[in-house]
Amino acid sequence: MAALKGGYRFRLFEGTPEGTVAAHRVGGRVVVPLAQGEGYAALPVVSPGDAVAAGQVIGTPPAQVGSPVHAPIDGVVRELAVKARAKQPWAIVIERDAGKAAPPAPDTRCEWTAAAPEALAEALTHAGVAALVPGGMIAPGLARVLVAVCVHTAPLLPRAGAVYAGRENDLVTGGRILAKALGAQELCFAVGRRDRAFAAALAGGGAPRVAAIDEVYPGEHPKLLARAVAGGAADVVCVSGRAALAAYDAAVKGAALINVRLCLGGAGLARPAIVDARVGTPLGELCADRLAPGREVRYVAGNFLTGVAVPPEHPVTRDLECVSVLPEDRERRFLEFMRPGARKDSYGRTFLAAFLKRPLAGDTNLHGELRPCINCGWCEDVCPVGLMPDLLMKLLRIDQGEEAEALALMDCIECGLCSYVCPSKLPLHEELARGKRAVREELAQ
Amino acid sequence: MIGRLRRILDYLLRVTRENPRLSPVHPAVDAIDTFLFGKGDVTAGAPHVRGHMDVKRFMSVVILCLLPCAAWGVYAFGWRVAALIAVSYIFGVGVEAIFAGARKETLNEGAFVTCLLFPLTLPPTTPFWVCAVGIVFGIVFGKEVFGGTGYNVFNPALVGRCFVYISFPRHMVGGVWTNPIPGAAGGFAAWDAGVDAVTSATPAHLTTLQECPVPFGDLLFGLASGSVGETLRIWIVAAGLILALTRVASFSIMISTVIGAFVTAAIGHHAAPSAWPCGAMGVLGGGLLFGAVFMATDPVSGPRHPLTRWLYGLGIGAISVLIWMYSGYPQGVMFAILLMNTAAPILDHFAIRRRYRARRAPA
Repeated sequence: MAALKGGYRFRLFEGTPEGTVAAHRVGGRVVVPLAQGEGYAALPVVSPGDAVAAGQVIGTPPAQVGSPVHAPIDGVVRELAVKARAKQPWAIVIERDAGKAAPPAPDTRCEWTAAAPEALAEALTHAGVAALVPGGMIAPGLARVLVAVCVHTAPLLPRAGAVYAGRENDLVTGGRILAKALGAQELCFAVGRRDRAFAAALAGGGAPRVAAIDEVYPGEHPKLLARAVAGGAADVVCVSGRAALAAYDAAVKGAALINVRLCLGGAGLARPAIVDARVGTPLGELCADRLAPGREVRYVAGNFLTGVAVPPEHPVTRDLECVSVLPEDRERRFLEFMRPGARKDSYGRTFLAAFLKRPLAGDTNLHGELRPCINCGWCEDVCPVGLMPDLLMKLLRIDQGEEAEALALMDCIECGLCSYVCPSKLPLHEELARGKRAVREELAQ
Repeated sequence: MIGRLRRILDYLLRVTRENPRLSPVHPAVDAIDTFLFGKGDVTAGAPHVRGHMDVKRFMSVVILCLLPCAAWGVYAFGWRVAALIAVSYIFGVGVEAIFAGARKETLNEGAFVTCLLFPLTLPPTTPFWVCAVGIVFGIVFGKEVFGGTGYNVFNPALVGRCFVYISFPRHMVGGVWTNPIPGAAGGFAAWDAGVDAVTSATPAHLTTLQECPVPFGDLLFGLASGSVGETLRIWIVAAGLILALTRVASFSIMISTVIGAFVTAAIGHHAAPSAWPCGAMGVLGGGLLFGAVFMATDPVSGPRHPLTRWLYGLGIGAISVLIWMYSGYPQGVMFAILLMNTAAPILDHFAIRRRYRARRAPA
């Protein structure tokens, strides 16, 4: 297995969840976005006032590519939320209502070992699992190798073994179900090299192949995994372990994808945790009794390198795997750069933290000022796909998009490491992503 | 006390902003404020958390590594050396501030390194005015005319040194060297080594004699004559290791420079033992180690590709020994680094082209 060139081995950050999985109390009001995960956004098939049951389809995709959206709780549709200046609703708001009840949603359970791949694919799509599969589509013949990604290399995430604890056998079965529905001949579970007990549990549960992956960010990126596991073959499909679990729940238990296992982490939380939550629960509500008191926080859907900052009202979606709650740190400290830094992470080993084992502080402060590039080469060192981010950024800044393209701009996987390590605090990640978009738009025209 | 400082700065910031007559001073106050307290800015988007390293700390590490060299310079050659460094800072940072003000940019921390590096490469008897002229020339024509920090082709400190070296040879070569001041207190008890100590001879270890003229121990532990900052070679080696460990400077450039000098000198010594220094003397003689650790590793003027870095270092090592042997100049490191600075972009160009040709080839 080829070792990753570049990349960054993140150490433990303060606020990384660990231990057992907690269930979040199901709230009385959920906001269910119509675009969740891969594929086209669904169109609503319910109207305000309709009674719905948990698991009932409330939105269907306009085309083959996409999967239906389900009601996460029993209740009544209150409104179809429309954003300003938009025509189509973006979400369906459902509130619990004791007076009204809908008949329970139909069961999607099927005898997966006996079922034809096509029937299985349809059942999984109907249950919403397609939203977790690249392309938003499940059909036989789409993959030769299916890789179930059960490794975490991003910061603020626990070992994958802790997230799937107790469900290792379901995970293996789910992987087999998904592989059958996709027509994959090979099934591989990508597991962290240090997560040995978990790897052993998967192998014990009958996993056909368990590949050990170095916990170097962004090792779980599909492009890098496909190379590490299958030598870069084209017909490799990487899905999260959550997709395999969802496939198990759909085919064996008959449950639609309305429950999500989330990692809530970040120094903004006093009690980080792995929680089971319903789709549609606002993040603020989910984290309310876990926040560290007296700190302004930023909610990031996803890990802090690639995730998007969202307001606390932002609902849990079915493709969400982690939420980073980061303290907004605007404080100006006297001679901050001269301090020993027992909890400061940096690619350059100039802080005490490089030699200590204490959990690292993760806040939103820039930790320095914007400066011209000093060609230190750190962005190139850490780039997992072997680019020269600083050179690409300089080319893009002088409108040399073609030259940047010749230097493999489009190979960028937008992992965010270049910006993370840059001592000049340059927005490399952002500008490369913008450059890629511009090239794509040009190609589309 | 910090609270009081904060209030004073806030007052100064407000006054210089509001009073039109004081507004030219505002950028300077702002720069001091930013230097002391940072900006307190937060990230605007992904990645939402950034590493803690910034340019200030980056440069601080280099300065920390240079301080023992400077302190030893004072110990060996007297307090005049400290005054020389002060002159360099006053004029260097001054001219940098003028350019920063004109560009409406903030002061760049790289200047603090340049202003310390420059006097450390001078002979201990260098007149103050030569130092001032050198640092101003180095910063203006070595850096600012190219567009400021990050755009310079040459190492600014070496551009300054090269300028005064060629323009004022009377003050830079010949009777400018002194032996280290003897006694336990050394230079800490003296202004300079005195007129009597001045020798017209080039530092003994730079003259090529049949046998190594200065014991290696004296060279390593700073007991030989030479430029202000280059004599405590044992620390320079340690500083190189620190810079490489902290990833502030490229280890491959340092080690390849040393190898280049060692191998070139060793080959020459093997062919003509009476005329050439031995390999170890090729490395320890003159400012080679200082240049390899602090000058060649300047990221802006050096190459970026791993392969190029090796070629660059080997080139510096070899050329500096060749210049020393063939040109009549006692030291070739400065010219070697400036020459390889010129070559770095073209070397990079070919290395990068080669890499992308390999990349585009089908796997």
